[in-house]
Amino acid sequence: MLLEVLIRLVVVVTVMLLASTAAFVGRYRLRDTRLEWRERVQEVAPITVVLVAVLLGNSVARQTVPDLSWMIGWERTGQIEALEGSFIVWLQSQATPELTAYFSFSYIYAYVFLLVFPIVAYFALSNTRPLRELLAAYTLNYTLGLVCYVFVIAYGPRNMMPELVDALLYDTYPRYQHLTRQVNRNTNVFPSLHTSLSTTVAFLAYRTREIYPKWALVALWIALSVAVSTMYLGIHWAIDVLAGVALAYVSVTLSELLVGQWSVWDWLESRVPSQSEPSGQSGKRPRETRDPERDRAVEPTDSSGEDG
Amino acid sequence: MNRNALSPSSPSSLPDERVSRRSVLAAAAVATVPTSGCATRVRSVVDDGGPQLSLTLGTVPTDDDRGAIRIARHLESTLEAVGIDVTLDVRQSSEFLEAVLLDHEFDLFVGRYPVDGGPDPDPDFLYGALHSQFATEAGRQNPFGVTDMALDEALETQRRADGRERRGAVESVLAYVAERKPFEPICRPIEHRLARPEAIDGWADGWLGTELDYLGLESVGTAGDGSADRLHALLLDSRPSRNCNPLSVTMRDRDVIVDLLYDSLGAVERETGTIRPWLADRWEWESKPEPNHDGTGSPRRTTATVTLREDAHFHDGEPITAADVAFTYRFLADTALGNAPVPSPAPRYRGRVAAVDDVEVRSETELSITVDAGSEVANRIATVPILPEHVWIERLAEYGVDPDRGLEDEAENTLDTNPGLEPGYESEPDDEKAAVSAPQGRWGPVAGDVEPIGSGPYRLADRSERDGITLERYEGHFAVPSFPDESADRDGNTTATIDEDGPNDETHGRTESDGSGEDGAQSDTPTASIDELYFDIDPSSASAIQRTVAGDADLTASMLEADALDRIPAAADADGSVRRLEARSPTFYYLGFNTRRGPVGNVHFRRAVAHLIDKAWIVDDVFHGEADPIVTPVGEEWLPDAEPDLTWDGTDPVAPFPGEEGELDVEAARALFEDRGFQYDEDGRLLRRY
Repeated sequence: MLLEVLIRLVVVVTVMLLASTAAFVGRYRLRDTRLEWRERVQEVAPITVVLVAVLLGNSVARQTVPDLSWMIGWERTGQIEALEGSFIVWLQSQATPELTAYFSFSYIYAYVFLLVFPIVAYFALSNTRPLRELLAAYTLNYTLGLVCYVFVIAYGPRNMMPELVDALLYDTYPRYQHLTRQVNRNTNVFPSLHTSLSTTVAFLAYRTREIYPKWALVALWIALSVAVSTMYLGIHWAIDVLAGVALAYVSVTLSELLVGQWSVWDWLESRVPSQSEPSGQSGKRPRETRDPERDRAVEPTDSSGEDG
Repeated sequence: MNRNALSPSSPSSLPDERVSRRSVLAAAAVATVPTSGCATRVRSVVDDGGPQLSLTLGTVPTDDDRGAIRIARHLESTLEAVGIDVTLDVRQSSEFLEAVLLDHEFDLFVGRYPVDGGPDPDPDFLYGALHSQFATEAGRQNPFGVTDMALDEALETQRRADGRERRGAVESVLAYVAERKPFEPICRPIEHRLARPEAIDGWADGWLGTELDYLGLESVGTAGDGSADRLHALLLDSRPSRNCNPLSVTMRDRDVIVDLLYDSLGAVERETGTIRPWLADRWEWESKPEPNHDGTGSPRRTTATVTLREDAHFHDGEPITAADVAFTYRFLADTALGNAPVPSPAPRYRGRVAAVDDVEVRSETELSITVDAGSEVANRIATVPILPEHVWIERLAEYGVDPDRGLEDEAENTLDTNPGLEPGYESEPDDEKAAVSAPQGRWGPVAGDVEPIGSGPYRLADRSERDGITLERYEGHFAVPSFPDESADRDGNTTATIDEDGPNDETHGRTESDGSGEDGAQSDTPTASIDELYFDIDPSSASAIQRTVAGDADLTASMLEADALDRIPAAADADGSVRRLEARSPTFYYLGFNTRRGPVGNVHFRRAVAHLIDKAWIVDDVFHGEADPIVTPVGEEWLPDAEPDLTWDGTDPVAPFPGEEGELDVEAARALFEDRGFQYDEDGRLLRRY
């Protein structure tokens, strides 16, 4: 069952990726990418390693965190839920089969596409900074999100008020629960990682709007759909979504500050661990200054980040 | 708290009916935005040190038990309507049980009460549920904190007496429950399961809840390819994959997997509801009246002479001896084996084990067990899992338990299973070794996970946390076809053997001898015909139905929730590709009162609260008719013929719901509290003073 759902997911997302790459990235960037990919891979490798480590750590922590949080976590009482539950109920009162299908699609397929496509799109840029910021922001989302999950235990609307809120996704397409339970526990609702990761992509897409103007619009739309879908499908409360947006903001801001601060490669060259931070800063300069030269015309946000 | 803010001012606007409530709240959502400041003000007045009566109501989330949380939500709304401040506390099953059974944390709790055995359980389970001696304990026993001498006497009489006298005592217990409300039984669900007849066969009726039922199953359609038979069953509870300790009270309710892993002396036979010898090759029960302390009544003691099967082994190959059985009862009575300052009885099976007076090992395979109970219920002590002494002693040693320590004052091989009542059992604090700390129900040996070494027909092959658990047939078990068995009859047809066994069991409740002889006992042993049982953990009833219908799985092992049953396609029903198994459950939904806490200790308060549950509406709306509303926790055959009237006849005879269709008549409901001396303030809040 899980395999079947996974295969379907991979096929659909692959089709979406191919179509969007053709539409948004374009032939010339792909041609450059073929020439420069080694260099770019080298530049993004460190943060990729960090992200993968966090994801692996996350999957291990997922086994223990819920039990830990039942011990130390703050159990959110029903009060917030009762106040805003009416919003979720109102949202669901608008339900039609078409909307349910649309939001289910958003929650599963569009979401995965939204997270994967910018990796492709930013990899196609000579300047790897957007990609490094994206991966750093993902890492921060997962890390900070996990911390929230340790300290806050809460169930989503479908689990708390079954008489009012339907589990539209799982009722309509039970098979998806096999997929989502691999990634999430039903007590991990605050904040909504679906919202925070989608919003992160939307924030970064807005920053790179001069490079990928159409993608910025598409990303914004999908992020909005995903955020609404989490509530429409009865999985998250409005407060979880707001917290998700806040987490995205924090992650994007932090990643902007942190990316480019340290360079693993310089550190490896100097072989002196104690000098890693200052030398990383200075050693980074040539590469950083070289990069915007290529993309400066199309990426003002990046250079403004440099100035700050 | 929207509803809370709305309800006192406009009581009639609290419709529980799904559509209207939904639209009311949807409308309220629109109105909330401008008036939210106002709602907050109301709220802060309420919170302002006011003397409003407030309660916590615990239950489990929709994913764990949709019926329970829907009942709890209904009660939450009716309690709020009568002016009580309610906090709904939703926790996953294991945490819920910890709060209810070990911490006694909630004021009220809604759940499904687990009762072992077939659809018609013996009312003796109420002894463990209600006896005062367990009120201070942590575990499945008496979570309500009830203490009542008259109730204790009735419970003891039903345990010791037989026939009419026992019946009378059971009736008093039922009347006590109905009138004084330690808990309120709500409804008894019908257990639905789904199976693919092309994959398996062998269930006698719609029931599939006990070890013997699984032994009856046979796979079909794997003709002659020599491959191993494998049953792919879907399980809706992930706890067995996380913890296999048969004593962990938070990790299991009823648990057929533990039953398959751990054999007991006797096994419950579904059709007759009786207990047949299982690990015991035969047993003889001898009851003798024994004068009561004050010379009244006819309390009984029953002594069983048990002969174990000589061919039974634990999964590690060690033979099962009388010493293992004696150890089991001693260990269940005090899991610290006398090493802790106070005894730490096991948090499960407590009511049954408390009846054991004395266990005497006579030989390798023979022992006698003296039970403080009459012949009708004495053999219930035979349904606890038998644990291997060598394994558990080793495990206990890791916790600093010295098995010989508690036996110092005792004669060899005898034990006292009611250590709490006899000070002599307690260990002296000035012993050379420091006593271990063994908080009841929580300490490692009973709460932590174990490698399950039992003696059941299946043993653990593999498990993956929250994913699945695989049991493989234990070829050293006597219920396995390949097992070297001198008996001629080996066709393993359970349906037939149960029929043969019927007449025997009719008599066994009252006759002294129950063993029908060696040959008989062996020839009617059901056989485990399936090589491997794979319990695949599935997240929901909806998905489990979908997978079974699609042929992805052979069986749903867990009870399906009523809400999902309409997902079984009519076509699959019609062409016979799936079959529905249906049976009345021995378990029941209930509202538990923690009588240790505040207003809940007041019987008048409990009686008023019991009115606030519309059982008829719950059965219709929550269970779609797949449940029966109930007044008492046991089957109809135990109800009193005359007074008091405890029969459901369209409405609850003791605590009828004021209102209909789940909608509370708020004035009438508030009158129920006022008539009992409770007071309301001018804002319609029920005051805490009473």
